[in-house]
Amino acid sequence: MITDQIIIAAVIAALCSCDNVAFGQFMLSRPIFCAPLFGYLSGDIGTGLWMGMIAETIWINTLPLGAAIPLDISALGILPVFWSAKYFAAIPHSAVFGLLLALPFAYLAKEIDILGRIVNTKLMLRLERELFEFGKAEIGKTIFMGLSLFFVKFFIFYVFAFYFGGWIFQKLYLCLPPFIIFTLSKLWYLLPALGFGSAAYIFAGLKLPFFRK
Amino acid sequence: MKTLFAEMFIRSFFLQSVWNFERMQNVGFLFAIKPMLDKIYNDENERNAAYLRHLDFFNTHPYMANIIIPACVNVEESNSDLQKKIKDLKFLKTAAASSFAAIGDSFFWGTLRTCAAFVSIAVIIFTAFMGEQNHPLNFIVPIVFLFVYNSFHLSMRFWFLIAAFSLKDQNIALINKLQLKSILHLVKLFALLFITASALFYIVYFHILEEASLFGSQFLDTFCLIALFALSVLFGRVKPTIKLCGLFFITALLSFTRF
Repeated sequence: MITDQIIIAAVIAALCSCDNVAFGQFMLSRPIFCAPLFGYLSGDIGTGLWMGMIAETIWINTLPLGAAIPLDISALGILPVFWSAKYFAAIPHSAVFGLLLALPFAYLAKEIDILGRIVNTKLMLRLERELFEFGKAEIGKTIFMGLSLFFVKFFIFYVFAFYFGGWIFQKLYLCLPPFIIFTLSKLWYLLPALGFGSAAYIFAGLKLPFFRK
Repeated sequence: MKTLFAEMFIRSFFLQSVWNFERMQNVGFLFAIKPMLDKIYNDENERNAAYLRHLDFFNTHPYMANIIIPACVNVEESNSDLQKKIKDLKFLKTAAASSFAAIGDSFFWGTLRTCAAFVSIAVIIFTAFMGEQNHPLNFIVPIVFLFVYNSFHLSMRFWFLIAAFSLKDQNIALINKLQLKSILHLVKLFALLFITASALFYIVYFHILEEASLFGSQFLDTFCLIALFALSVLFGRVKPTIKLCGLFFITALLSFTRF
C-alpha cells in the first residue's frame, strides 16, 4: 500500500520536475504549484499552500538559466509536504524540518540532473553520427529518449527521496530536543517574512512613478 | 500551412528535451524546425545537409525560440547561396538568440512568473488572514498561478511563431514594436503591489497570532518580523539556502535561551 502510494507520488513528482527543463516550462515545477498539489493528494492542502508559498518566495530567483543548473526547486516544494503529511500529519510545522532536510536532496537532484545532461551529449553525438554516416536519423526517437531519461532519473530520485528521506525524516524528528521543536513551530510563521524579503529584493532597482523627476 | 504551424508550435515545447552541455538546445531546435525543412528540401542530400546545419550550437530562452525558428525557416527558404545562408543562420542562432534569451529571462521568468506567483501568494495570505487557512477552495490558488502565467505565455509563444514568420527579415524589429520595456515596468509595479499587500497583511496576521510569538511580547515579535523582512531585503544577494540556515540557527539559539 505504502509502496503503491510512493510509486504514484514519484510518477507525479517526476512529471512536475520534467516541466522544469525537458518539456514545456508551464511552471508545473514551481513550489507554488507542486507543493499544494502534493498537499491536496496527501489530504493536507493547507500545509502544501503554506510550504509552497515559503519555498516559492525564498527561491523566487532560482531558475535554470543557460548552462547554470540550480538546486532542484521542485524537490523543495514536494518533499517537505509529502514527508510531513505522511508521518506527522497533525503537526504542520514538521514540514519546516522537512524543508531543511530536503536541502541536501535538492542538491542531490541537481547533481543527477547534471549527469543526465552529460548523457544527453552522447545522445546528440549519436544522432549527428547517424546523419553523417547513414544519411538518416530518427530525431523524434532521440527527443523521446532524452525526455524518458529526464523522467526516469527524477522518478528514481523521488522513489529514493520518499523512501529513504522519509525514513530519516521520521527518525530524526522523533529525536529532536524540545527547543528545536519550538524553533520549528516559530519558523513556520517567520519563514514567510524571510521569503517576502527575498521576493521584494527583485524590485530593488525599480523606479516608482511617484518618485520620478 | 496551419497544420505545419501547429506542429512546429507543439514541437517547440520539446526544445530542451535533449539539452546538453556541448551544444545545448540543438536537438530540440532541429526537432522543432524539421517539418519546415522537410517541406523546403525535397532532395534527401540537401535535407540531410540542412539537418546537420541545424545541429550546431543553439541556446536561447525556450519561449523566445519561437522567434528564431521562423527566422531560420525564412533564411532556409531564401534563394541566397549556401555561404550566405550559413552566415545568416549563424548570426540568428548566436548573436540574436543571446539577445532574445536576455529579454525572455527578464520578461517571462523575472517578471511575469513572479507577478503570477505574487497574485497566488496574496490569495494565500488573505485566506489565512480571514482565518480560513484550510478552506476547501484553497485548491484554486495553484490553478490561479498556472492560469495567469500560462494564458499569457502560451498566447505570446504562438503569436511569436506566427508574427516572426510573416514578418520575414523584419522579425528582429518585432521585439522593438512590442514595447516590452514599458510592459515590463507595468507588470513589475503590479507585482510589487501584490507583494507589499501580502507583506502588510502578513504582519497584521502575525501580530494577532498568539502561537507565533517568540518573545511573548506582541511589540517585540512584530518588530522582530519587520527586522527579519528588512534584513532579508538587505541581504538579497546572499544565497537563499544560507539565509534559511542562518535564520534557523538564530531562532534555535533564541529558543534555547528561553528553555
